[in-house]
Amino acid sequence: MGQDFKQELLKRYKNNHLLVVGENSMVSITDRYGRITHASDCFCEFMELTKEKIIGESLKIIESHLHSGEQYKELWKTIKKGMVWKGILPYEKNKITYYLDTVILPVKDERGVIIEHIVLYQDVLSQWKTNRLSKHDQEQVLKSFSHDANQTIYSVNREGDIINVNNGIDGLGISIYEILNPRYNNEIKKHIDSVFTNKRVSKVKITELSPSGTNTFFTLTISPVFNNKESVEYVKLSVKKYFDVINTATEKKPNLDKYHTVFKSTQKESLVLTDKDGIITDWNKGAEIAFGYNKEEVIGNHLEVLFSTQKDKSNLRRFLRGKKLYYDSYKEKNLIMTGVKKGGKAFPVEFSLSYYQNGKKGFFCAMLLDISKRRNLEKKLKQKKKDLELFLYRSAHDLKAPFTSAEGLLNLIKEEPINDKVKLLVNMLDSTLERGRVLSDNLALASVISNKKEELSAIDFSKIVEGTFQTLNGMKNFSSIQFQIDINQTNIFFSNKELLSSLFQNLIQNAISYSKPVSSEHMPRVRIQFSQYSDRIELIVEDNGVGISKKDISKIFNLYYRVNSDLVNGNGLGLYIVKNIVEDLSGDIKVSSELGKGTCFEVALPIT
Amino acid sequence: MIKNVILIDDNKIDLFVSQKILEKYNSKLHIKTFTSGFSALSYFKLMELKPHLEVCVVPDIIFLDINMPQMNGFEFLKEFEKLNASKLKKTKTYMLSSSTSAKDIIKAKNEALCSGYISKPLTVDKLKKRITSDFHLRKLDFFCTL
Repeated sequence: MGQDFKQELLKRYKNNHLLVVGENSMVSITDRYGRITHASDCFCEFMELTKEKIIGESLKIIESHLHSGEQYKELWKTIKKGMVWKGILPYEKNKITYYLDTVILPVKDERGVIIEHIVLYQDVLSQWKTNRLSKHDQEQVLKSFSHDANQTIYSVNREGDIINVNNGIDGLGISIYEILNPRYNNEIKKHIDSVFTNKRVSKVKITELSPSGTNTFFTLTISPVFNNKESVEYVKLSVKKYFDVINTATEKKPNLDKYHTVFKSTQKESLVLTDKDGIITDWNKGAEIAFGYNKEEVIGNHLEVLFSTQKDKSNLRRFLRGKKLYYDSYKEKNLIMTGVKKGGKAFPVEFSLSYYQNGKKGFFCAMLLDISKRRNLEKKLKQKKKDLELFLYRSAHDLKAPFTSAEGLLNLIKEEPINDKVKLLVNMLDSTLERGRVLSDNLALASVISNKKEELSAIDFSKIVEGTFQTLNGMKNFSSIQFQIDINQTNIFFSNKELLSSLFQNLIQNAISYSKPVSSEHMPRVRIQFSQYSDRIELIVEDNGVGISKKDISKIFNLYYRVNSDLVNGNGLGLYIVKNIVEDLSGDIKVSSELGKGTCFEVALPIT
Repeated sequence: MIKNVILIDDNKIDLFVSQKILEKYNSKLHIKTFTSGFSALSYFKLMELKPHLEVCVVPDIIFLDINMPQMNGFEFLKEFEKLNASKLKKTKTYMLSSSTSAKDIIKAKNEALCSGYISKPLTVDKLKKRITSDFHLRKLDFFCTL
């Protein structure tokens, strides 16, 4: 239908300006009174009216010339003079305001009298919206690009509108410039133009940056499609994946100028460009500040002048070779190396290197970051951590002394002839002191744990169990509990003895603390199962004590959390310590429990 | 049998408690207390210089606190080792401390002059367990060497 309308237009006006009318254009023709005599399908669609209904109606969009708006006055003035009017007209439809980029062309008869107007519209806002394809769409398009077997071929007109796609509908109805990397728009436009004029196939290489950070190279082949008049009707644009390159920081900036400015002006990071042999060709302000050389002094030298030790220098050479050979798969973490300033002063740098190929010429981009400040901070942090650990250790131990003194005094008081009232008070004081003592014990233990993380020794788990039982011997309820121990250790393994013992001790302590008292129906029981596998050890501690409610189970590993403070003489440190130890040993802990039935802790620790 | 005991502790309350417990354990014990390692050392030095001085009683046991200002228990032991009073050869030294730090316990274990480690507060039970077994052992040792 649209084609018919175009034919009609062409028949009636052999004017050149109508060539701009495309099939998807919104066009209407109005007579001199402003009534619509013809309308394109697209326009009808936009107005949401049938052709029959539109024809004969006045053009709502411009009829409001009576409106006091400056723009309309100016519009009518212009077209009455017989001149072309261009501008953007707002139009409200379904409570959404559309902005129509409008061109009104007057059509005159032989005598120069205006007989009608051709009005061309373009919905600017919607177009602007489609221009901003969602990330997902981009990904889709990219995916269809990347599919090697199904090479995508777009049919594109001179304006860059996609008029056909060989595989489905991706991108249909939008401009080719909207789906390709905008950085190449001008270049592609030139190529398309040249194909239209020169009628010869043209090729262009582009890159696409996927959201995941991979840079993919594509080859665009633009070939002309001729009509029967031997002129180019449209072009076929085929996209073929060339290869992927792992993204580097620089490629995040698609705009070359922008990249260049960034390269030049970055002061924090040193960026150094070298040729394929590692000879410095350019560097930025940051590098100048960090290393102290003038640009003239450094260019022409090998990159290794920036490094201090012989080891770093040889590492660098190896690194450059590796990058060059395997630059698309050669992934590694940033290196910490020792840089050297012009005067010879060494400082730590974080170093990363990327290799690019520009045609046949390869070049390196090295990024160096002076991390001496960070190093110092790290050192300070380490010291502070140490201080803090020592502080915790000291205070936990110092805290113990007054508790034990008081305990001693209490023991003496108990020996004195005292009445029942005092005895009651003394007992309460006794249990209070006991709590304080356990707390300081655990604090001390916690500090020991953070101190002794790195020590490894051969472990015999039954020895650990033995030791733990000896330590916990004096605990209330200990003797009433039936222990069921099943140790299945096949080999000696290496771990941190201290950590492992306190892990086990805390779990057992917890099981004892939360046991239910002995009765005719209840026999408190703790099952300990230790098994060793090739890559891990597993420890299960299961009790039939009070259990933990579902609501509380997520909180049990929190510092100072206690399920039931009245029942139990805990201090909320035990399971916190357990969790920390498991984390330190990069293991896993699971807990399952049923209120009133008991609790089961399962610990798995990797061993080597 | 034990007759003379020396207590060294900077904390007077702990001294008091330990003394009372020792008295409860055996009311006939002679107990001497010092609030610092220095004062105890000068007492021993005096003994070294004037071996026949009657006032100076040779202790069978020394209970020694670890955490003390100026000179801690281990430092005291080092100085104590340098003394040559032959009378002191039979003296047994126990660490009596509130510290449960493994470091301290291991250090005490490795100390040749230290016969044992007792955690505070001292109780009659602990005393009985420790001393009777240790002194009993010594008797056994004695028999073995015969």
